[in-house]
Amino acid sequence: MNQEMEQGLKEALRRKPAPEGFARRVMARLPEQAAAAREMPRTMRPRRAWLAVALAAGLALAAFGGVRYQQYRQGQEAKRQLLLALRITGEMLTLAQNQVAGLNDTAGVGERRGDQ
Amino acid sequence: MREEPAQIEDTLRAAQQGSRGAFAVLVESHQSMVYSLLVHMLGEEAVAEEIAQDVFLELHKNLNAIDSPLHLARWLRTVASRRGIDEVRRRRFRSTYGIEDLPEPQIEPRVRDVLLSAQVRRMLERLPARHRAIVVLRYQEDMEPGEIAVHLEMPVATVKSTLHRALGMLRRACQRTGLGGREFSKREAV
Repeated sequence: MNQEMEQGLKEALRRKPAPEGFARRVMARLPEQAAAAREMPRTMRPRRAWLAVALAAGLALAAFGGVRYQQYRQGQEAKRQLLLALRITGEMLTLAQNQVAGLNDTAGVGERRGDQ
Repeated sequence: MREEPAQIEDTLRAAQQGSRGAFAVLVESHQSMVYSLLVHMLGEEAVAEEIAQDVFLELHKNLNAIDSPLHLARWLRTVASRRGIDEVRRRRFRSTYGIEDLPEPQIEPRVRDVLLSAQVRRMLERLPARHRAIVVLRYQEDMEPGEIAVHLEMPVATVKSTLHRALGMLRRACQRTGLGGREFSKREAV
């Protein structure tokens, strides 16, 4: 019975043809990007990979440099505004000092006249 | 369609270089094997086709890891079998009642002969996932236990004992449902 059974199993488990259009449906599901990547010859892949890495690194450096330059420009502008503010404050202080000095002079003259 | 390793060597290389046409030929060369493995394991044609397509998409991703036509066939068998086992377990294809509980066929002997293969496949669907995979690889692909062990990454002794147990379960189911030795021998008349 074993041989008969094994033969029966072989009969029942014979390969069946895949459904019509099976390969076409598989090909339709293939991602285009993967196909495009596969088009690249194998020997080119490492060089292209390094190129991509270098490009990415360059872009990162440029972005970093841009940010740093922007920070430098902002710092310079802040410094300029601070110096301007200090200068204006200094001028105002000088003006106030002069006015105080003028008041003192006027008061001194009045006192001397009163003494006479 | 059995693949001819010598004939598909060039096709494999062309597919690895990016030829979509060559890959389509590889699919056509192996689709019957992959689809049959899955349909015999799962018993549902639509599910089997969907998973078979997934197997070929996975092949496309891993095409450069394939070093020969024989490796290609082995890779496809292995991946299809594992996907089949996973799917059986995931979908709980194995029914809550066992192979021993199959009902007596209520059909005439002549019709029973005609439906013998379908009946065998139905009984196969009652087997646990791994038993089923081993029986399908053994009788569909005509593989020796040693080869099955390599494909499924399990000890040869385990393959042999699992196959023995699976055949025992099928034999008992055959006897119970009246599909004994005589009915099996009638297959030639079908």
